[in-house]
Amino acid sequence: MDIRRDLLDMPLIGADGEPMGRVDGVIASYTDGRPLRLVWVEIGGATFARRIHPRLERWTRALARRFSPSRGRVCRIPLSAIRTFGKRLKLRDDQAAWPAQVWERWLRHKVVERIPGS
Amino acid sequence: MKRLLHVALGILTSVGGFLEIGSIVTAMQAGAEFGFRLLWVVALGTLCAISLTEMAGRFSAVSQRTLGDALRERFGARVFGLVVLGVGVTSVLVLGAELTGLAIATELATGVSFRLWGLPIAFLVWLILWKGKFGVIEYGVAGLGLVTLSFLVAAFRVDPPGPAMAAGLLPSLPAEPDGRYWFLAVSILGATLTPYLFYFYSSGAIEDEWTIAELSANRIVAAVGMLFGGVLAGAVLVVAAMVMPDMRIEDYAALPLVLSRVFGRTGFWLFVASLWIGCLGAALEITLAITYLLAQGYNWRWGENLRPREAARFVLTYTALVAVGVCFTLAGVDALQLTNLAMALTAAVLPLALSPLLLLMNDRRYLGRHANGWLANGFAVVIVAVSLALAVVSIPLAIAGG
Repeated sequence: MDIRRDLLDMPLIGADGEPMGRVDGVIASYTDGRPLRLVWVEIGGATFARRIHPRLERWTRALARRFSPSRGRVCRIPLSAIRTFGKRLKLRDDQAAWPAQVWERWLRHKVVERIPGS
Repeated sequence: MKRLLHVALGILTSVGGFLEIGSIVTAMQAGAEFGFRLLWVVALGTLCAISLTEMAGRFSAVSQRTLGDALRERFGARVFGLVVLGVGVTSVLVLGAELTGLAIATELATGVSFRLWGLPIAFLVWLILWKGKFGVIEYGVAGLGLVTLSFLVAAFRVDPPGPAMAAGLLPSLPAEPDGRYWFLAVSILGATLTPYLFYFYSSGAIEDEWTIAELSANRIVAAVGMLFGGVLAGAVLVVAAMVMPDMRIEDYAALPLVLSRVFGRTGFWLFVASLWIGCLGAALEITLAITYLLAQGYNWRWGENLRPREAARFVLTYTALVAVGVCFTLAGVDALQLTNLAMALTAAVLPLALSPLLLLMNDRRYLGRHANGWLANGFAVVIVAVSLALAVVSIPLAIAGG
């Protein structure tokens, strides 16, 4: 697997076809003498910001800790939770990407549903 | 019949690209100050817009992806962030100009100051986005946008000299270095080749569920839609050249003269209606285009055909954009200066928006055998080169010529 081509920035789709964000980062483990092993993919504003500039990541993390409904919790999905790879990465179940949906749900319940006609 | 109706997407895109306050003002200023001499810039902009919208539609129909999706996937976080920043900031300025244009059209109709119209106008735009499905916006703006045909009728009515117009279609240099001439040339291209146009058209193709079967319809839609806008922008320039010669337009109150000097009082109302619907179409288009870009880049749920509660981040993003855009109107910013600045800055970010498009159009993983051929690539390279030249000269010209 080519991480840049096949994993990073690819869209994640829940079991029911719901968009779950994109792979903003990957986490690999390394043990002496063994090949690099991909363990998790990360979704989140701070991870995305890190790829632009480390300072932007610090700011984003600080803002998320203060204002995000998840209190800045990073969404990490084990690679084993991804059922299919390809143009879209399909998850086995939506639970794995639950934290990535926290803003969507919070804004829906706290803001959008309170506006008439939503 | 269904494929014929796709033309509505082309006309909506075109109304937002060619017949909004930016294009109307720059074409009028060009015609009034330089006669037919800048007509070639409108023609060049139209050809570029046809080519680029065809590419954007082909990309989405074949790959079943929007440009926003592919931008993030293919180029990663940094390039995506840079494009969002560049296109986003300039588009918010253009949105401010469009909302102000909409408020000005309402002031011209009612006599009540445009600043007081800021909030009702912003609410109207938001309400259309909140309640309207994509088809309603598409067919509504495309249908009402036909009022702008009055510019074409006016162009025939003023009976312009054919040879002079034909000469205007050939690129010409001013007799002596003239910053204003080039500033208006850059502004016209900036007003025509707005990057949000292509992101919007690409998303519209997905909203309308285009597939590879729509490729030939896409060619017709892009050509008819952009020609509709280009011919009308040219007509604005021609009429301004005939009825407002040697006039420097620096006050929006002078804008309706372009039609009222041809049709009298009816012309005034036709102008007000054209400006109103053009700015409304552009405001809807820009707001949606930037929202689409963000939603697709971060893979949120998106679409005008969803209920608002089904796409919370999508609807709140367009809500925030309208709220930011209307601040320019409420602050009473000079509409013409804001328009000219926004168009010059749009020209400055063009290479940033167009270079990824050119690379994507050659990526066979997305397009297979429908990737760009040598002709489309040659044309696209010329467009990117022109956009690079525009980027270099637009800022100094904005200071010198604006």
